[in-house]
Amino acid sequence: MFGLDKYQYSTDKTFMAYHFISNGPQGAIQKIAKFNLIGEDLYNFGFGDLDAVTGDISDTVISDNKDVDVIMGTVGSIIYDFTNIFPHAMVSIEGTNKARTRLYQMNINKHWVRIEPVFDVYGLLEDESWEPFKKGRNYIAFLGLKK
Amino acid sequence: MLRKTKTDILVRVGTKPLITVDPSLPSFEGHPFFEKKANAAKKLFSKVGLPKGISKKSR
Repeated sequence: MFGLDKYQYSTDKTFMAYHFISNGPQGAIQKIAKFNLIGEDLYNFGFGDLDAVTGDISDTVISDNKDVDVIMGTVGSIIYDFTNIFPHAMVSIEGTNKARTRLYQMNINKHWVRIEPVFDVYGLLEDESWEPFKKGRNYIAFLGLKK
Repeated sequence: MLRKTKTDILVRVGTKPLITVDPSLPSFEGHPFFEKKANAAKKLFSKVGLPKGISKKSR
């Protein structure tokens, strides 16, 4: 999707969980992305590293695998595919901390020309009001839905 | 009318490559990591609601 570099990924039979492997200097790191239904047509998007031994998932580990752009391209593609399967889905994304939220924001900014024709995106401001996403503004969460 | 199958859904997506379904991949339903995230998001949305202009009717 969007012509960005991405990893091959697979989904479970419910199309809610997605798996791919990040490859880089730190080795192969399993990534799991999942959509959780939290309201009518409203899904929360969660994403983290899977520890295959313990089954734990973490989004606070800094894996430093030098592939953040490919990971973000993969995440974008997963969200795009998910909203093709569930076209009425509204997808909320909130980083686990300010740095992660900022990372999502930077990537939306960076690829806005590609995203904007396909998705309506809203940003949640610090004062807890929503506005249509504007480049250069700081948000604490995002909501995207297919146009 | 023909019943929609999972294959139909995949074909309708029409992207290349098609989404690969791995039946052995767990759904991670109920996984504490995602439950925690979902509960936090539920709490947030119960407080802030949806953006104005988004409603079931308008969609």
